[in-house]
Amino acid sequence: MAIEFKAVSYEYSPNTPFAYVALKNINLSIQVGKITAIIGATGSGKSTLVQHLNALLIPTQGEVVVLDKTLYAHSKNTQLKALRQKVGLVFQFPEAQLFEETIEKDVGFGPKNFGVPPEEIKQRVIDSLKMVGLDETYLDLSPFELSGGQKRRVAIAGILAINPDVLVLDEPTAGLDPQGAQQMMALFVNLNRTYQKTILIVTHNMEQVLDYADDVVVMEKGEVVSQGKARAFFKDKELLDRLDIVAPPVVTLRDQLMGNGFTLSEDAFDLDTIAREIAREVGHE
Amino acid sequence: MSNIALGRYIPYDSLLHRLDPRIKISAMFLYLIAVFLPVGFLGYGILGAVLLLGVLMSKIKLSFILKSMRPMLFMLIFLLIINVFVIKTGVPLFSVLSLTVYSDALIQVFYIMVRLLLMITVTTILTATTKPLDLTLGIEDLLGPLKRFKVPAHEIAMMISIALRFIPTLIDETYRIMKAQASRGVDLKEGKMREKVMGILSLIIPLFVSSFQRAEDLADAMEARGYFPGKTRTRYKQLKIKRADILFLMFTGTVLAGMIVLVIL
Repeated sequence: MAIEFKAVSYEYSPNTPFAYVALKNINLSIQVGKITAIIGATGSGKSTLVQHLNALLIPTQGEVVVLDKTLYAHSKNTQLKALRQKVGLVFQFPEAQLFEETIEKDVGFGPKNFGVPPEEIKQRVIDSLKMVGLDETYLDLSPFELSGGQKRRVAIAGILAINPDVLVLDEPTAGLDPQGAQQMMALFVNLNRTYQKTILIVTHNMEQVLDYADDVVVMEKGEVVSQGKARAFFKDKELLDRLDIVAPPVVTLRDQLMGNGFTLSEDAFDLDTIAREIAREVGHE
Repeated sequence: MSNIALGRYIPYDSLLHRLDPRIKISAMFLYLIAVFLPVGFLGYGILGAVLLLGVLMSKIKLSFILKSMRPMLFMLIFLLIINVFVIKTGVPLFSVLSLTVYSDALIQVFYIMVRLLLMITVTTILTATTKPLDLTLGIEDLLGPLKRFKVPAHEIAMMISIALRFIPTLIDETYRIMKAQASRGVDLKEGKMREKVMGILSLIIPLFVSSFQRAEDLADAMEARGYFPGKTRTRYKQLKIKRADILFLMFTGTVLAGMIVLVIL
């Protein structure tokens, strides 16, 4: 079981004046059971990359292995529905996909399409709404009555209800208030820790990468320019400079403390731990 | 996006691209009048040659134009069947199952097809070489004289340009929602009939909702910038007639005149 890109290229509108190569020879391996962040500037190919994971896009060159399914360029790939049940994809601004009369029906739409029996659908709907922080009083409301943030939660619940093994999220916290964003990220961490879901998050937020991701993939102009452990990534000053990435303030703080003679442990990457270690060091002297 | 050829702007830099939109629209109308004259085989030969010249001048690939022709195939077959049944003059050519096909029927179908072909090609050249916004500026100017008869030329042009502006946006949005619903198990290709209907609903409703949202936002944004229909506005882009424009229009006029002469003779 793995997720792997082997020499994958993707070109939009080939053989027209609008032809555009969005992915160039991508070789990438994503660890199952981890949280992986995909970062990169706008237009670097992140969204194109993740749409290969549930076969919405088929590579124009190379092959993509997702769990037990391999997608080949230049061949008719069938039985994509089974793959889509295993890989749930939450698009950017997913609230645009709501359409049913009630929230219950909308969240249950995915499971119904994948042939989940009706009795189970109801339970799944209630469970996944609870996961995103909405209780049963919402079941009979119209999704169009909700606020933007609530709509987002319902849309995400609609994917969770499919119960995929791999959850791919394209900028899930864009446009949410900081508290809502934090709750959302906590949900994904919980899904990963408690249910062993593989999580992939496309994000622009470096703090989220540092705080929540195990691995990080950096894209630039359709190519993968770096992949590795998130913590190691933020320690590599040269790499960050080369990729023009600004590390979160806590990393800068850590660097400056260490530059001024403090010794901090390998995984002291949040304020609490740093404060505790400094207190210990100062207390010893 | 790639399979919609009809009515798309193709950003090349050619003689036709640089012409004034008003001239191009007028020339297209002159040409269309010529197409609808009963000019016979010779006339259509000349008109076809003129059009081919236009295609070459516009640098647009013939394959692109042929692609926009593809939806016509069905119509051709339909026309053929109707005409074969209805027209019973001319020389009987051959019979299929007690149905005799006459030469006039085939000639008639041929004429209609040639006319359609020329019409579509000339409009495709127009839309492929003129940016949608330039096109509407041209329409607005050409409708200008009608303002005297209370025709809201500017509003019509504004409506057309907004509609044109949002076609690609709507297409993108459609693809986006299609993909989002495909991720939720909608299968428009292989599913059962009932599922397909549900799938289409899951596409149309979000599109409807977002279109209304967009329209409201746009109206607010326009009002916030002081847009008021009916008020006189200045224009950032000024259209200017150049020598090439006059020559082009004169050439098209000559073609039309030639066709009229051909018909009278």
